[in-house]
Amino acid sequence: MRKLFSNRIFLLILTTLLILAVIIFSSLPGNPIHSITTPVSVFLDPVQKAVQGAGNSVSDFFSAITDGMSLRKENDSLKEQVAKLQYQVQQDEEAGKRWQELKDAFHIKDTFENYEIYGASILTREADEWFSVIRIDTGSNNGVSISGTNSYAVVDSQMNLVGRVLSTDTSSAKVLPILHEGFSVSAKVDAVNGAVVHVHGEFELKTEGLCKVDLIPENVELKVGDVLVTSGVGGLFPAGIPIGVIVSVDNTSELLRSATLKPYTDISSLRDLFVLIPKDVSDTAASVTPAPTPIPAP
Amino acid sequence: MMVFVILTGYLYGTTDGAVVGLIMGFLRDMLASPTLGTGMLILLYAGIISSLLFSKRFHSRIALGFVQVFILTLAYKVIGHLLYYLVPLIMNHDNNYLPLSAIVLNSILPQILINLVISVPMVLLLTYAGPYRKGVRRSLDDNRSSSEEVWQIR
Repeated sequence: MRKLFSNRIFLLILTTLLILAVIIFSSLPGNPIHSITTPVSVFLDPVQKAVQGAGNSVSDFFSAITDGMSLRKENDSLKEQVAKLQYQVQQDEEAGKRWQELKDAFHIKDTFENYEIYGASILTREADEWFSVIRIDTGSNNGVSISGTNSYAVVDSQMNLVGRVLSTDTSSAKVLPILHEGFSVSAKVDAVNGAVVHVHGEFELKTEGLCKVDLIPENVELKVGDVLVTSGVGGLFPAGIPIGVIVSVDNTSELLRSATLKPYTDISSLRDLFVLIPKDVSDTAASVTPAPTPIPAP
Repeated sequence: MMVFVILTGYLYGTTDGAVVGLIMGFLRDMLASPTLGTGMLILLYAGIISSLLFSKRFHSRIALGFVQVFILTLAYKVIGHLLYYLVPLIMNHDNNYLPLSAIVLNSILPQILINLVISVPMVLLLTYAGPYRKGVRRSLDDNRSSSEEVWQIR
């Protein structure tokens, strides 16, 4: 036996098999492996934040120098915009009052009324052929904690769908982006009685920044330019979050009709994300963890 | 991380390359992978292969470390793209993957360039601030005929 373990090729095969077992096990929903990595992230996250902060300071310093000339021009045009917007705000305030009256009269619910919104900054964002998960600096300490197979929707500052929370540590969380082949969401065409379809990431479309749309109901014709939003079916994502726009439709097979969708969110340019947590869950989390500080919806 | 593993394997030998590969792979998985193990497997083999390529007397030649980084980065990217090409082809019998020019110009070449640039400070660090004198594990040359020989393909 000792001889066997001193054979390096045997050790390599054994290690490979063990790692393969870990890969399979860790891909099962609700596996406990993510809790094993929590102690490492306790040390890793502060270091990573410090490095990221230093990098941002350096890049901000240089961009401040290079942007100086253009800032003056921008300032002038912004002053004009401010004047126009002040007028717009006055009108919107009036429209807001009327909306509130109508909302009370017809018992209309806000799209995200039952959700708390938690802000987070991106720590890492890999997008190569092997690794493509976003890490954010919000975890169970901040009230974002998942267990078993539950998850939360993640949106950008324009409220466009970015992905869903995959796993959480004490101070960080992994987000499965919309382009990832493991991501799927029930969507509907953003129109009155819009058709419900299925949107998911796909291997060959990921590199082009596109998603696949399938399970299109019979007698429904998707068109290029159609906007898809979350349907709310399944309960994971609240209804009405903008996903993207249809860029091509494939009707060659009547049984397997599909389309491609260009997500609104541009993952490569994101810096901040927002996690949507149902209010009943966030109330429970608040009772066991330090009270998080929800931020107003952008 | 990959450059660090490749150069560690190249300069310090198979055992160091494999151990550093496993640790870096674990960190990589923590940072950027939905599952645990993919990065560990990739970087473990990167560490081992880099210790075997140009082995024996070439280990003290720093320039070949850059060649190692080039070759293994190329292999990493090519295998990744092959997977993206082949898996949909096998599953759907249909594939509209990126054109070869886009793969080479937008994915493989930039990654190789970045890794080569990072290799410069990394080589200096491992050579002058690493755990072994003059950046090369001397015992490798002495032991290569015995322990390291197990890995050689004859």
